[in-house]
Amino acid sequence: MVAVNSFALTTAASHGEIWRLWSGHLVHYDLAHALTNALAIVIPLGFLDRRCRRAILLSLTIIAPAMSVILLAGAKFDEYRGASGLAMAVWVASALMLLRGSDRATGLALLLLAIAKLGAELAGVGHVWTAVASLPLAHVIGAWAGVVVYLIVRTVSRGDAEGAEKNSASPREPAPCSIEAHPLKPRSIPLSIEA
Amino acid sequence: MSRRIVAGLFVGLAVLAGCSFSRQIHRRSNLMSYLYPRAAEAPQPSTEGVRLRLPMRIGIAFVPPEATNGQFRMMNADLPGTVEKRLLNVVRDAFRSRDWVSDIVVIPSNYLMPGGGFANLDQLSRMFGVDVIALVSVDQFQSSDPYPISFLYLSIVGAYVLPLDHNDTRTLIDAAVFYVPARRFLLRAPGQSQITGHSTAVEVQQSMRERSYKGLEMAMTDLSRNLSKEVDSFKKDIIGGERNDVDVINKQGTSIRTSGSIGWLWALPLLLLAGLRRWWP
Repeated sequence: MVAVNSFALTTAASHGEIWRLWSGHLVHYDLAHALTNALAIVIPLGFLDRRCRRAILLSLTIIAPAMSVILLAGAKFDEYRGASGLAMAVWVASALMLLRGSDRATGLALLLLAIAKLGAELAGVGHVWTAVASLPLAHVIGAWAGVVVYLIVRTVSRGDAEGAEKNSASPREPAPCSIEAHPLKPRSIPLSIEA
Repeated sequence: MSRRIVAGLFVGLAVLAGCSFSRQIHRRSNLMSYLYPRAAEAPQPSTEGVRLRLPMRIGIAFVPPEATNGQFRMMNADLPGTVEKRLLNVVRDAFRSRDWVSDIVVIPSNYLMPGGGFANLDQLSRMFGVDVIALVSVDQFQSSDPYPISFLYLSIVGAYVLPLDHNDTRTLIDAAVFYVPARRFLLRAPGQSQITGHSTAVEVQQSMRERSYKGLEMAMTDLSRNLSKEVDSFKKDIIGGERNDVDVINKQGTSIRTSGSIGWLWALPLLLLAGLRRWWP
């Protein structure tokens, strides 16, 4: 059996064990730790449509190691486990996308929650109702990463939309996540009753 | 006359049959009687918090055996030095690669005095330059019982070639880890094993000795696994603040009480938001 310790983010990542840059965000201390982090990823993603979700998740494969490198450089920890940094990135990116779409109330609520969490942690009261104390720097980096993810997705979706308009002869390809084009409302089943 | 011969034969058979008998061996060392030989005078742990500095140099030793045991025949509970070192190396090898360990020092058990307590541990701590010592206590029970057909041993040759003794070796090992300067218990982990087998009458002693060592080795391997889990759990308790009496200082000189966690306080409002959006779109 491979020990979980082989996957936690430690300084060993800078000595050849580069998988830790990704895996450190995936391993957790216990079920509650994993569950709360998973909820903080799944719920904001659930507010978005499929293409936005996919675009964010794809961005995370690049954002995750970048966050790990910044954490290793900026924080003095023995080992880091947990997806909360990524969760914060997803949280903020989702909030910004919803604010740009038509569901601004949800976006605003998400953003305010994220700001409240960061504020509480920076004020030193981040240990409430959690068995594992959080590293505020990870969440600050995660919040900035969320802004970067939002900008990446917006730039890519704009570029795709412009390309599709120029090449109007060909059938239009759907953008990876066309923020303005999609109302970002929960999916509703259209009713068509034919008499 | 013939009756006397028949009676003599029966007596002879009964005596020879007596060559085959049950054996029970108990090997035991008790942590409590080593650390607290006089329970009423047991030293109180220091009220000061423990600060463990990484990477740690850790000592590991077998608790010296208890002097007497009335119920069972006692095997000499002192393990041969080579066997003892081999067994302790099982744990040492399992933890050597951990980045929080700088070295694991095997302390020979003849340096530990029966009933030596923390005074003895203080000596060892200074002698080997370790603040944290893992004390391994053993409780091993072995029994060997002849099968009903072991009367075949009467043929003498049978005693050499027929494996008609069933023996059972049950081993329970416990490792308790202490921070010696503060006399503070940190964590514990168990390890266990069970071996059953057969042997001929003349090989019982040797077979039981070999199975004793094998059982101890298997239990030490199990102990290493459990100890690894306990260390993870211990670290989680420190990070989570459940062990406020202990702090771990990493190589950079800061506490390890950090990790990535959203926590229920923030996960629940998210759930509430999802619920609101679902029912009141």
